[in-house]
Amino acid sequence: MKSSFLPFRVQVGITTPYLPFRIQVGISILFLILIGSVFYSFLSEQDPQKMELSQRFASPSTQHWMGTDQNGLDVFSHIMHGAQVSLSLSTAVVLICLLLGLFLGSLAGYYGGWVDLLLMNLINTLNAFPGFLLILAVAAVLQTTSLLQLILVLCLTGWTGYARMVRGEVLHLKEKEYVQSAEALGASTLRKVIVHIGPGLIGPLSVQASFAMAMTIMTESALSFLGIGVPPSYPTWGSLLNSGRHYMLEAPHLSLFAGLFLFLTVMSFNLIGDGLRDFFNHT
Amino acid sequence: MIFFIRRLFSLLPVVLGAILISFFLIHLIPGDPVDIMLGDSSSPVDKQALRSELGLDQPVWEQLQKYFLQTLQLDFGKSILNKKSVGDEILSRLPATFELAFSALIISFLVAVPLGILASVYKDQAIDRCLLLFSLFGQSIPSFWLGPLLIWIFSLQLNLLPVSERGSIGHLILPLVTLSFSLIALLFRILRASMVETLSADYIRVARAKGVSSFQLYFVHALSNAAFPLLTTLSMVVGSLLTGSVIVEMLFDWPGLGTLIFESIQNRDYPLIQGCVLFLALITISVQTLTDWGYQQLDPKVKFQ
Repeated sequence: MKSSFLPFRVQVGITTPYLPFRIQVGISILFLILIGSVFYSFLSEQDPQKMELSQRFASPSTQHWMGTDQNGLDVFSHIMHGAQVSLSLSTAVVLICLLLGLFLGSLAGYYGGWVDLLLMNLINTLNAFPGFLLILAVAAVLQTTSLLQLILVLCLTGWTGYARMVRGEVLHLKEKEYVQSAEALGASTLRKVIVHIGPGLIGPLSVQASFAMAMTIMTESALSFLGIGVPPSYPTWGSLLNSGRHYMLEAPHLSLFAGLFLFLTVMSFNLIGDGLRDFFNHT
Repeated sequence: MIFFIRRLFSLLPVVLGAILISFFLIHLIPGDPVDIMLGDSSSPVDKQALRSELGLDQPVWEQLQKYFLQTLQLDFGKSILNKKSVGDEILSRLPATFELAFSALIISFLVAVPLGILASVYKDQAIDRCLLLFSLFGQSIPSFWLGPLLIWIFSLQLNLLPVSERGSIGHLILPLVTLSFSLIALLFRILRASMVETLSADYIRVARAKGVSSFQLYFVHALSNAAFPLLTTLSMVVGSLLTGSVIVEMLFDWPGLGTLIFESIQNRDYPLIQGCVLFLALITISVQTLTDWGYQQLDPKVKFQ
């Protein structure tokens, strides 16, 4: 790589074979869940849509690995299908938020002035609504009927974290000597931001994105647990947990397995986030 | 005092923005809000009555003006379902939520602080690794999984604790544990990181060299400096406690604000949703201002800019 890419080369060290143990664990668990969610129809011969009322609340067996629910549907298939919904939805949300936050944050950080003031006030206002309250209220009012709507609602507050972080980093990085030298050599603003400042953002952004994945999956599940958000025709972990709650005595396995997969997925993204944070802080 | 005035001034856009967002909530409803609230079978007379009661027949700008004036007088409108004032409804639910949220906050601090100190003192040793693993679990476990699991184990299998509703101390335990679990993990992490940093400072080494007892060293010398990051997260923590209570209260039939929000969503009682959302936002903003102020009072190194 050319020497002008120096900060980039340092950051891109992630492509080397060495990965922290925590990232390895996180990626392995996610990989297994992903494989399962794509190929579950080959693993278990149960049709996820086939209702067998005679098989209501069957306990885990060789036929139904994780038992069946109140309609006799196979829980394993439901969970694996739910993984598809949850993972693809959250990936979309995190990507949209990341791009939006990156764009607005670097704009505010680089130019400052009224752009910055406007953005920071908008972020502070959105953050004044605690936790996922705003998302909950908007999803409830809109009565989201499609996944696209839900993705947009989940993006509502998610981008603010990136924007705040990118703004801070850009403010800090644009004063660095190598950026100033680039400017002295006649680099355009766009070139400075993309070639010189951009690589410095990869670390913090990837850390934030993996924590955001954990957060988004949790929020999406919480919404569908409350019966808001993902349309009922999609099987989700949250909706399974909700129906499991009503059948705690007859079928504790409903809640047990759905929650376990949610927990493992969220934990994996948290692990990856932790690992990445240590990784980038040490380089 | 000057701090407060400046701070209030800088808060103005945020408060106005929060009011604006909660105002537009009701305008996000796809279709006619009155139709959705009353259902299709209602008579046109009723619909017209509700429409003029909510002021929806007036231009948006006038509605907004009215909403601002009302909010400034702390009038959050009326519930559609039982015609009671939203403010009164919120106030009647507040004690239950405060009982739960405050005890969760206190318990979390009581558990997280000693554990955080313990982990930082034995950094990178077995006990630290175990506690870190525990905090990873705490951060990743969804309350709507933990709650049902606890109910299943302690109420249904062991018959030790009541399943739901508010009442004796026994009723408080399960919701409290469910709500505090992730909070303990969060506070533990923050304190551990800050303690690790503090313990490597020179003044700690000096205190140790002067023969200060371990207890005093960790709990007085180090903690008083390491605890500041906990303070800054307090506003975030209070916010997440209040929202977290929506799920936890619903799980345990706890008659607080969270249940009120959940019920109003199910009943499509939009003025009530609007009121609750705005109320919680105002609470968060107040807590944030207070913690900033407290932070500045306690730590002379921080000066408000």
